[in-house]
Amino acid sequence: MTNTIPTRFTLMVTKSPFDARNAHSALSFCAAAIEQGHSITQVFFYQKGVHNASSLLQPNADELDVYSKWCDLAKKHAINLNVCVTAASRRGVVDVLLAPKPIYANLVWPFTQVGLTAYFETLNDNSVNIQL
Amino acid sequence: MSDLPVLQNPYIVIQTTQAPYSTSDATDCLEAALAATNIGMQVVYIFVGDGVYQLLKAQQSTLISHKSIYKKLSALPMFDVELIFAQTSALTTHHISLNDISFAVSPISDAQLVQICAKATQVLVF
Repeated sequence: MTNTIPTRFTLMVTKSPFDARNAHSALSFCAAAIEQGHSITQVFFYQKGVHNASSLLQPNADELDVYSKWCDLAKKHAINLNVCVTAASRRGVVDVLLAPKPIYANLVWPFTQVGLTAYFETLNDNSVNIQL
Repeated sequence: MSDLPVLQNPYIVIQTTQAPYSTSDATDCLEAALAATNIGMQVVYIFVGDGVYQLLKAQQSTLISHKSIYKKLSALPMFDVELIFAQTSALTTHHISLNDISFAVSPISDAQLVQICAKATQVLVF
């Protein structure tokens, strides 16, 4: 543990898990920040970043299972994984309420659908924003 | 180059850096700005780099089955986004004039852009 002032971070992830390194970087950032005594107020998934929240992701065996990593992180450290509802539904990432049938829902806890305003409300709370 | 307005209240900067229709970035950026003002945040909206292409008035977006981003942008002041700037160096290199734009956009130098971002509480880039 280094001697630093604890900071609250909010992350915005805007790229899909297998087209860019952004999600990997975000996961690494979260782990490092928590290790150093900081906290993550929320991870907000926007634009193509909403694909991180799909429970249907099937990475190859030699690739990082980003979805499981997010779930582990959220459960272990009680981090809110918020997904922009508009960006997600546009891209077919839907919870049980928006799916045409409940069995088609691919957005489940610990991911939650919220509006963009929820993200800005957290920024208002003196969190430091990291956009990836 | 005009002087920058004095920004006294805390504000966030939202930079739009992409051309209007090749990606969804321009629309997503606009939606983010509207969400921020919706909860009372002061937003400074800045067109940077290729983002200045959004300011071309003669967009015929219906030809590609798309709603015009220009029309949406011109409504920004109605949603309390009144501090709107465009990077002068990008306007010059992209040969875009602010003269025939129907809403108020002020040109800013790269130095002023840095200054505005440095004093912002948050900076988002799309």
